[in-house]
Amino acid sequence: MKRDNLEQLSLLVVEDSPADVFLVREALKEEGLSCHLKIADDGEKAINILDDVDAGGQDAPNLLLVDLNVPRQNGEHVLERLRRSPRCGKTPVVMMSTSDTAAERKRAFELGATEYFCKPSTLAEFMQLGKLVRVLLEQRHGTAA
Amino acid sequence: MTQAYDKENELIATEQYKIGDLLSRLWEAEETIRAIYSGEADAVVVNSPSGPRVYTLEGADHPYRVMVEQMHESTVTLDPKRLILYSNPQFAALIGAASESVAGSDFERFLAPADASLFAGLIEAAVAGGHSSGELHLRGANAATIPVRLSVTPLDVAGMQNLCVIASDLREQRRNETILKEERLSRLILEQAAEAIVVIDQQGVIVRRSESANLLARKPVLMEPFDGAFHLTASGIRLDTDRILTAMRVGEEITGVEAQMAHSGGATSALLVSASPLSSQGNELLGCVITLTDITERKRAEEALASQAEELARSNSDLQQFAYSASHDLREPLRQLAVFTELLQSRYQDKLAAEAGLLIEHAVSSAHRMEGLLKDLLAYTQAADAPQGPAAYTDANEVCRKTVATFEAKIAQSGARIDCDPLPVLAIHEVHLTQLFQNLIGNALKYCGLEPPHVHISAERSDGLWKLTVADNGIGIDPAYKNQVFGIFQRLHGGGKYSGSGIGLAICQKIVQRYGGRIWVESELGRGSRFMFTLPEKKNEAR
Amino acid sequence: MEANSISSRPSRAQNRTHDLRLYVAGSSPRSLRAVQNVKRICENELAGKYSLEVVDIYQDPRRATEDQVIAIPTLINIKQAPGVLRRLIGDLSDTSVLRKGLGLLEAGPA
Repeated sequence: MKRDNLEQLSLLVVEDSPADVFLVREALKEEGLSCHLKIADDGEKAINILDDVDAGGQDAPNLLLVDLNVPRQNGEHVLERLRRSPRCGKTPVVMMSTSDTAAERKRAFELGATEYFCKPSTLAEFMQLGKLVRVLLEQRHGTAA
Repeated sequence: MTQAYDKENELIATEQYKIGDLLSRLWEAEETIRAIYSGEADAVVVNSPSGPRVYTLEGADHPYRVMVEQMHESTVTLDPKRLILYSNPQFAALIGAASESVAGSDFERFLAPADASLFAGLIEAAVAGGHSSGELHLRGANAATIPVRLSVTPLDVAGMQNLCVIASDLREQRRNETILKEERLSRLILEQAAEAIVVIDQQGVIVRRSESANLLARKPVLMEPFDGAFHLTASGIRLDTDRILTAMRVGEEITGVEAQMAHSGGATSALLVSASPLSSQGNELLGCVITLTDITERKRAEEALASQAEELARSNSDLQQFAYSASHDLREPLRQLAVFTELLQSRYQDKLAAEAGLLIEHAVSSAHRMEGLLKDLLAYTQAADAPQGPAAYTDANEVCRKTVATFEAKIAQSGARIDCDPLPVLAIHEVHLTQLFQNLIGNALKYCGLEPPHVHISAERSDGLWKLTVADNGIGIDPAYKNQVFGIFQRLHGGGKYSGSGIGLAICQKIVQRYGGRIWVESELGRGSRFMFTLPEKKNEAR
Repeated sequence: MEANSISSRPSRAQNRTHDLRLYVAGSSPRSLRAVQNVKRICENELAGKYSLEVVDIYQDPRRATEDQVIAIPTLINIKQAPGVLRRLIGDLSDTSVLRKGLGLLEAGPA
């Protein structure tokens, strides 16, 4: 069930755990999304990318998947920086976390997260991330259904 | 001429009377002269321009007489029948009698009746031994009892066997003894007082001090100026005698004022200073009593205690933080382990032996169980964390209703009945009360027997506490385990019959204890359980 | 002053026949003897009918001049009846003189 019009889109994944990056790829693959993935394994690298985007050095990502607990600058800082970006301030963001506390969730939405994904411990649940990404991308970039 | 005769008779009578009088005077004059000539007179009284003067004819006793009259002691001379022949003025004054009424009286008259035999003994001893003395009581004016020391000495004067009695007034001495005793007592109290106490005069000089005042000043302070001995500062202002005495004058109180005392070496002591005025009867300020309580040690102990409490709170919070991090950080690899094991299974199902699937299933379930435990541990460490904001009040009816609603499916499925009496507003955060109800009602529904569950929630108030009860008709708890059920990860039912990690009641206990309450269970196997918890009532506080 | 006047103790003023005042000089032997003698005679023969004051001229010289006392001891009978001696001088060991001075009938030695 491939949607060709979503193939050219690019995702910025801010995640330090290679295992989770692997699972994100699996979830997207499962959903048939073959987007271009840019990986930043700490918050600082993610912010540098956003700086570069604003400076015109590269294209803006179409969606961000941001783990809350990344080294250096954490996910919240990345989200904050993104929302200030003139070029991609409105880009949808899925915040991801292993823990699922009400406080964390609330804080993420206050900072402008579009969705909050609690990383689950079953394969099936994790694969739901792919569906979530599809929905968000389709809302924004339309569906050629 | 009867009239003339009568007149003559009258004249004769008058003359006869005159003659009688003259004869009597003559006799008196002759007798006087004879007495003087024959040496029967002791003294003659002569009128001099400076008033009457007494000339003693036998002059040798003059110095003794003066002494006897002028001495402080009272003395009397008694004849063998205890008739007072002579008393000096002091004796008359002692017993409060007119001096002319003393000589010629019996001594017994002035003796306290109870001491009569004592006096008789004294005389006996004096006659036998030449001298005796003892303490007894005289009877003075208005029946006053006068303690005296009597010295009795036989006195032979010109053939008379008299007794010389000297009475020393002991009243003053007795009073002095009492005063001295009291004085000594108050001095003892002052000197032994644990607090430094000094008495200063109007000039600020220390006129009395307790021993501890010397210790505090680290030198003897008696007769030293207070300001030199104690350099005090209260709230940054010098607390000297000027300030203290002025305060006393205007009636200002100095009670328990906290002050710092600077020692010469640069060290300081923390003191509590109190002062009370000493006034004369005319209300003139004579000085004041200053009490200096050294609270340096107490303060140090308080600070140590506070820092210990802080330390404990910090280590508690460190532990909390550690437990949180541990459970949080452990969950991530565990979650990945579970997911990847599943991934392995789904991806390579065809290539694996039949048993491999079963093993993978076990691995996944173990990982899930461990994740569950970590999740519960995390919940437990966070259970009693206070949400932000002021002390909360929560309507228990509302929370109970909402909680019951979350069990809707389960209630419908099991045919459970839940009765909820009217509940109070409780001094507890909503999130905590929710957790309590969630766990207790949840347990009541979960551990049911064959009958459909029946849960009854009620509240009663006693001794400033609210007691809430969640009763059920479930399987009950063996009383032997009624305390154990509140332990962390304590489960009474194995084998997966009842799911759960055994953290719920531990969380309940932690929450209730945070509010100073208590939680316990009354139960018997097969007869349902009654979980009860108390929370302090604070109805007067604003919500 | 309860002990103000011992003389009022043995007799009431109305049936008193003798109000006596004895002037003495301290505790000189004759003065002591005078007190003893007067007291003895009075108690023996005037019991209940006399009062006695003993005035020490050393303690109260002014009173001696008031009563025109010139020699000590002197006994004065204040409540004087006609033909009764007013004053007697000496230690009064001679009871007959004392008795006469007090206007008592001659009798055997007390």
